[in-house]
Amino acid sequence: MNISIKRDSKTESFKLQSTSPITLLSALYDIKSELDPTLTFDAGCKSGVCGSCAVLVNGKEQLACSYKYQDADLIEPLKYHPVLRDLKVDKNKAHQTINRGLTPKHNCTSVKTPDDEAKTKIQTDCILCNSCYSSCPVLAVNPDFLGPFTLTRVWRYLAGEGQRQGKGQAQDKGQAQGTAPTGGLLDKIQVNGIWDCTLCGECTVACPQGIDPKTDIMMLRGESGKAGYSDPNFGNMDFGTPSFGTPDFS
Amino acid sequence: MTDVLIVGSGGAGLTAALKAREKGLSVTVVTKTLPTQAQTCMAQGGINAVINRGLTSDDNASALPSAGLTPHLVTSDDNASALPSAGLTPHLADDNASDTVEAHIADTLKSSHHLADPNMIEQMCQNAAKAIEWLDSIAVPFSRLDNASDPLQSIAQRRLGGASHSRACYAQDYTGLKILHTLYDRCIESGIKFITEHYLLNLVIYRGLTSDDNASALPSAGLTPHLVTSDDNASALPSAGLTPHQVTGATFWDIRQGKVIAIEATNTIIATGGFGELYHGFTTNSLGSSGDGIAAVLRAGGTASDMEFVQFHPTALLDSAILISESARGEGGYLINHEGKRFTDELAPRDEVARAIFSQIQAGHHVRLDIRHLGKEKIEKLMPQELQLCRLHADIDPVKEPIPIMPVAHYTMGGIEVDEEFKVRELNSCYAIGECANAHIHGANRLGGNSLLEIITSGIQVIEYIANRGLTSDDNASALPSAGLTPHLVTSDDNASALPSAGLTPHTQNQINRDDEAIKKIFTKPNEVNFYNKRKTLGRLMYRDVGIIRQTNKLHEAEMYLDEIYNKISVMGVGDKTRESNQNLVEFLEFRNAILLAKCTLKSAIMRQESRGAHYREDFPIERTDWQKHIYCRLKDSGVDLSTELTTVVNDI
Repeated sequence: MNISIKRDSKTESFKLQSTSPITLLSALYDIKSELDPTLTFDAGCKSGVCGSCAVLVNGKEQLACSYKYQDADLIEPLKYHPVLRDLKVDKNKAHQTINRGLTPKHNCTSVKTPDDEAKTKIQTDCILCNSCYSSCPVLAVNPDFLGPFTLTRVWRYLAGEGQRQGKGQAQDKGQAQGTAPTGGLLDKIQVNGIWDCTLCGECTVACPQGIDPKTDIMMLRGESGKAGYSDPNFGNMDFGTPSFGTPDFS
Repeated sequence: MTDVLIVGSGGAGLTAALKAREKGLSVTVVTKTLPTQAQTCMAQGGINAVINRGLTSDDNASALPSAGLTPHLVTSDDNASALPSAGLTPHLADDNASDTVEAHIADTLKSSHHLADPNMIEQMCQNAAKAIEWLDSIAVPFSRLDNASDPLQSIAQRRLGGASHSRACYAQDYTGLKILHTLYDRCIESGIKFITEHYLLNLVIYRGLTSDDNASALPSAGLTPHLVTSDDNASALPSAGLTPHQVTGATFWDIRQGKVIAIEATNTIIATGGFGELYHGFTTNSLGSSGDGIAAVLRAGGTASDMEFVQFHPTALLDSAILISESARGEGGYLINHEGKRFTDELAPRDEVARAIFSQIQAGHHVRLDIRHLGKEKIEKLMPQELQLCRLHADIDPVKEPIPIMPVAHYTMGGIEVDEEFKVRELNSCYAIGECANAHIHGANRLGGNSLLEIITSGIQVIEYIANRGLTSDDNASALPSAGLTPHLVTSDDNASALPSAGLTPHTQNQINRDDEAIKKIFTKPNEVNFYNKRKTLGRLMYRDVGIIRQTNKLHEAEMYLDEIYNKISVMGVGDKTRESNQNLVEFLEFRNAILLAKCTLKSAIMRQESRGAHYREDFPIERTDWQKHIYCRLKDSGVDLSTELTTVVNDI
């Protein structure tokens, strides 16, 4: 069997000896030890939970350790990540969206009941493999978009605390100062956040853990609306279409 | 200069980082991967704590809505009013209610086979409830019971092997993953500084003499300890009764940039995990579990102890070594041999079940785990993760066929010898926590659910000790007579620690130079033997001969093969000569560490002529009182030096 691996700008084909189907990760190590020691990729737990080995297989995100390769598969690095070498990408920028999405030292409360647990059970299954980030078409046009996994993380904390924090602060501040409402976690996801999502659902398809960031983002929109935030696109009456120089009266 | 340098970003490292930050200390966390890719994410079962009676009565009173009621005495009326659906789980509550910290201590001691320190166990068990309370307070999403109790009491617990009660708090079967990611989120919010993709090379040591004079005598010189001559090294042996060495930071290989850097620190905490990867191909551990921290301590003149005690998990998938959780047996799964017959008590302690399975395998029989009788519905509900893993990695549908399994290396009890404050014995200002450390908590066999507990409690405690010692401890002062070289007096400046070459002390620069030389040599040395093949050989060898059942002849045979691999290191190199993002180089460095630790494990296993816990000698099957002691490994000129000391702990249970 052959697999092709994208390396820099060119694609290289490798012939694999294995007769029985093995995981893509095992195949990558076979190539590295037998054919080309310079082939570079990330790997860790081998069992789908450390999140290090996600790659593109025929254009779709897969964990190399949890995918059995097939003849003529094309393997590429994740999208929207700077490629460091071969399949190894720079995940720092994507991970920094967590810094931007979470509120410093916010007073987090945990789940208390089985109901609470159920609300965030799936969201906390995230392994930070960056598959959703790679699948998100918004990042093609807006590199500063917070991205699916960070927004799911934000929803995880908001859902866990029953949205008390966002609402309370939003009303207080917004009413008292007459300015744009700021509400803890919600405040951080208004710009380059929930309203930039196109709700295409690619992230939900890409997630190896069955997480549904699209729905989490819709929940965040609902909570933001209740807290007095509004869709900036709706406010400008442009519904997401590019602005053609609407005067700024602020 | 950072106050606290933490090497490793698993549960232990991140806990210590958060606690150090709380104390107002500057923290730098360095990891060879990214922070959430640590081994901790693989822990499924749970984290042990007696949460009903673990608190003092005062704590309980304040935590309960109505003072004076002990949690398990909450009346059903109270519950009913608070709950829409009165869904109590009485048997669990009862089981939990009768649990005590004393029972947790007794279970842990028993499992340790008289090789652990009762004080260390007591300390951990006493701190367990507080650790859970802390994890709960930082929003770890534990699974919950519908008992409308105060937050701590509602955490669900399950019973794991060797425990007298249902004591393991869990978050479905992702306990480690959810703890690790929650810790990471809190670290981000606290502004903790992470340096990612930096591989630990060596500890930087100041030895009290002028560093130049001493440079050539360092066992940490270069990366090839077996090449240090005995003359050079004699004065640096830790057993020689010298003033303990001062650790002032560590050197790292910056994987992306492809260069050696140093980070100077007042305190260095090693939290680099275990060394299960030396059983390559026969371990549930991550590829990165190569014991880098333990190897670095050995090279710096420190000691590793109890290295012969490696826990094997009874049920991993044949070939792929993917873990099949203990819950499969807990729910009633059978172990069957080639004739389809059961051959052992499936719920005996891990070491016994693993031995029973391995005996079958040694006799040439396949062993399979049969859960078909549990029925499709139950299997799908209780073990969805296992179902998926079996289908993917073994091409087996456990609903229809028994699962082919083998026992594989799972946890390393031994590691860096530390004192009761987690300080590395021979090194000052250097600490080790978590699986890389031997804090004498697990002894000869670890209890399920105690590893997650250890990483959290030791991460909390080590910072207490460091803070109590203060940043200008007497130890430091006496070890460093010359003011100009005293690292703890250098003005703390977070940014400075990240700059590899700015304002480093001479002995740090010397270490960088030595490591740089060593790496250069690796790039230029002959690459005649493929170390990836040797990595596989090492794994097979260790599994077969230094694994679950050990025997004198086999051990000596293994030693011969291991020496052969060890001696070939000089002609093993890297085929990839690029400096930047060189995975080949990092894996070679990891392999060298694994080889060194394999020697420790093998030599200790040969020396210990008895059977105790996870260490089973076919030719010495009895546990012997005169072997109630530890084996210490230190690095000498050309290999691993072993010494034994009577353990100070003699405990009857």
